[in-house]
Amino acid sequence: MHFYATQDQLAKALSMVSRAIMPQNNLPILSGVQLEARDNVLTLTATDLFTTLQAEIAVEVSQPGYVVLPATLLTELVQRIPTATLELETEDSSGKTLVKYGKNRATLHGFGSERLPEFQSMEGPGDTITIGSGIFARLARELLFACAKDETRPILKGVSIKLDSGRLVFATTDGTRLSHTWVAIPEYRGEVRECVVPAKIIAEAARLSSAEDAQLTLGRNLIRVQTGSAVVVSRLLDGQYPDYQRVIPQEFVVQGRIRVSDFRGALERANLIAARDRTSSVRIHHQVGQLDISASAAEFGQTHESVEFDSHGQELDLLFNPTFLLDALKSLEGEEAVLEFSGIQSPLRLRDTENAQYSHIVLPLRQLV
Amino acid sequence: MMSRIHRLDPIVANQIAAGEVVERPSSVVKELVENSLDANARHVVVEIENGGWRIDVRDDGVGMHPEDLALAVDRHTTSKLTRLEDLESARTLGFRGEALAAIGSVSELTLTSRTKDAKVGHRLAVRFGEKGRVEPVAMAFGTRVEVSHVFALQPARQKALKTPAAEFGAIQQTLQQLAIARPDVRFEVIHDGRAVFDTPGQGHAEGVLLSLFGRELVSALLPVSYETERGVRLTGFVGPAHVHRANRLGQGIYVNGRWIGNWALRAVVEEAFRPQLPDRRYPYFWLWLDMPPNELDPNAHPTKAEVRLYHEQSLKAILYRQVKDALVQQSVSPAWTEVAHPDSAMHVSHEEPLSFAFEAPETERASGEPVLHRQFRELVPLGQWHAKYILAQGPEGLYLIDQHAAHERIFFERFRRLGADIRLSQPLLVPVPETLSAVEWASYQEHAENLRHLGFSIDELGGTMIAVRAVPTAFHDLESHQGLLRMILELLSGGEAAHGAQHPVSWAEEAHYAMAACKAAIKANRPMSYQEMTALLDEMSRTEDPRGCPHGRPTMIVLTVEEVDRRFGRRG
Ligand SMILES: Nc1ncnc2c1ncn2[C@@H]1O[C@H](COP(=O)(O)OP(=O)(O)OP(=O)(O)O)[C@@H](O)[C@H]1O
Ligand SMILES: [Mg+2]
Ligand SMILES: [Zn+2]
Repeated sequence: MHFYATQDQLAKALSMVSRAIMPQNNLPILSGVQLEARDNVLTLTATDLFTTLQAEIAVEVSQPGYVVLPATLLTELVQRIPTATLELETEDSSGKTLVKYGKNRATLHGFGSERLPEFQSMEGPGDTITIGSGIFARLARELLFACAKDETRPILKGVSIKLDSGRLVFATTDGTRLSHTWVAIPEYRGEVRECVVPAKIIAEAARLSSAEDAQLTLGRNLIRVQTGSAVVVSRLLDGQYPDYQRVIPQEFVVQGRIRVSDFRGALERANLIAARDRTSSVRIHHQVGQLDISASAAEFGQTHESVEFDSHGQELDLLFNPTFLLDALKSLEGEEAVLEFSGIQSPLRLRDTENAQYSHIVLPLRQLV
Repeated sequence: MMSRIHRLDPIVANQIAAGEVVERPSSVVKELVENSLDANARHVVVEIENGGWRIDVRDDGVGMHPEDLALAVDRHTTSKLTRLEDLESARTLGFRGEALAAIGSVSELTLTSRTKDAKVGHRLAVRFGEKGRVEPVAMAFGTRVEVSHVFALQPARQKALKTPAAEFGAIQQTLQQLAIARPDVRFEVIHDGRAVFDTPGQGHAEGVLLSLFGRELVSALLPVSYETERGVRLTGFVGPAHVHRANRLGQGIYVNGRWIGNWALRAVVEEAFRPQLPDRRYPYFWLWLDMPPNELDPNAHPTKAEVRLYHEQSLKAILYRQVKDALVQQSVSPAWTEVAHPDSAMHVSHEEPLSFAFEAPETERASGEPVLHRQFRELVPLGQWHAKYILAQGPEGLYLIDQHAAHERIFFERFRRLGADIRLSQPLLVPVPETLSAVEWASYQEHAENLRHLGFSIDELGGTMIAVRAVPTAFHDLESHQGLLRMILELLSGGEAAHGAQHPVSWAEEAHYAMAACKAAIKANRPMSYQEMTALLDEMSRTEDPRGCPHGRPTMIVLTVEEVDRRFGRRG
């Protein structure tokens, strides 16, 4: 294999696909990036066997071929190369690869003639939907913070996707809070399908499609998001996602609009105190027109603030985990949020006044006697 | 005269599980000596030759009638009970009527006995199960049992025996436990013609321990004494935590005059010593539990080494607390006993013992905690060493205090105190179903109420299936909310938390407090001012247990003047 590439394109593609690689691997080849040169195109591939990232860049190929090279080393080397173009040449099946730039050169030891393990291929109907640029970024912001972080229920680490006629519905929950959002897909009239995908693919899709539309394909075993120059493919997660529809409240005892920056500021100050108390909770009191936000920690002090809240409904006194509320507020886009309380033992729903598709719900804490 | 031995009703005999009575020479010794104790002996002489190849036990007990000798070596003959109900209240060590028969079948056994009212004694020999004839013989009152050639006809069993020295070690341990269990009986032990020990038999445990372990240890022992409403009485001694040995020969737990090998009880007692115990070192303790006979089942194990205690959980908690308390008490300098002055004591509250004028005023911190360990208030910091240790002079000598460990202990107790106040629970949007293992289910059942108090809300779905509806928020350092219940159940059933059974709530959070305390505490390589050191020592005096940091390292080392004098070759 022998090709000539521009330094910045290669560096960008390398750091992009390298994100698929897990920091620790017991299969050494999985720490590598596979380069395949053919027809003046270089295809870069990396995988952790759950998610595969692939990018293509234009290069000048003088001899087609492939090699797997240590990803981190190659990426960091290419990033530091001072010349605008460089040349990569793998001499034989030893995998030894010469990187030439200007008058200088480096030699990297690759993985012989090994290739990356074959990734599954797409099975099933494989409906493809176009998702506009920037939409995955919104989804990532709205969804990913509510995924479970621990391994006890692996299914909750993923994102639930429901393909419905006209809508693509997403949900994430870690058991105590839930994010729920959707994207309109007017052109889709196929069957209703549900699956759970790794959070990673949403994060990667957000990166890939920040400036261009993406094609989303849902197969029976895989999900793929493709843009003009790159593609990310993940295996679907096995298991049953909990039936979250039931927990989304339908009736509310308090509804109102609040300025996000005011609410957030008050919560952040309350959290300074709350975080120092072992209960880490803030008290939220509603009376028509205002929310009182307070926190106290035996050894440190207390805060008490009132925030204007254009509301109607009953008086209410609740305890919340402030981090959960702050996470939710950060996921909103607009300046104003809609807060809807459904009772002292039932969830609070937060929405964006500017984006009706997204809602987040969080359960209050319960004080034990 | 009615003969004293009856045949056990065959049904009763079968109800009592038969088992291997004789495992090795030490079990023979144990059975024979227990028979002597059951016969009300005041003086037992045990002579051992060659690691148990010959065993000779003599006592001054009630003896046996000649017609009973032959019965005694039959199976299921006992003078000690006739109906199973009696077993419930059996205070005797033997009750199965099995030991002599079992021993007689694997050895050469000679039984010689004379009751008080008989003119002569009688002898009966049994050779590997073959009974001889009963013959009269001249002897003193009491009973003598000689056993030799144990397992001579069972080469496999014989091969399983260890060296004579090791076998004698086991015999000695057995005899020590029997002697400690019964301070009212004189035990004379001779091995290969050499006196091994001879206890006074005056009824004082200290006397027995003195003859076994010497004055230095016994004078350092700390007494334990406690009684519950249910009539369980705990008495005994524990060694100071810094005195320990490489094996468990310096410990014993005795229930109703019987040594028991209950590892769970042993483990909680050792746990109480843990903060100051190096790895693989064992503390000294001898604890007597006296309880109504219906609190235990002595027949749980054929060698009777294990008794089943019906309220083991609460006994564990009592043992742990009492031993811990005794050890903590001890860290108050014994030289510092105050005599309350009749008129000055009048208005002094119990929380704050008399304060003396020479106490520096800045040590009177606003902290409302009572001073529990005055010793620390007596410490005068001399300086800091390696920016790690505080050197202080105090009532017992020179103190080296680990600043991190000490500060950590202070924070740990503060967090634990605050933690007891408010508890919040995080309900889950979707209940999490879990199928518990049998072990998890058992500990769930046992601690269900405590788990609820901790902040769990759990529905039982039938079988060992549950649904977790809410989890405690107290563990906010933990990533995993969902696995929390499993983790706690596992720890509860693992015996690690055995002592915490009584307080599983705070126990379950202790690791969390310990972590927080470690983060909050000052680290090594942090210079401290005189004021800071004084304040730290003052706070130590208010902790419940100043001996160790929450991770189990000691907080301080004391170097006594005697020790220093000794090292410099000075005398007193
Ligand atoms: N040293 C002794 N002094 C007086 N009587 C004895 C002595 N040793 C044994 N006996 C009598 O012999 C009987 C049988 O003893 P053995 O040890 O076989 O049974 P046990 O003590 O009744 O029950 P266990 O099998 O539980 O020890 C006893 O019940 C007792 O009456
Ligand atoms: Mg017996
Ligand atoms: Zn520490």
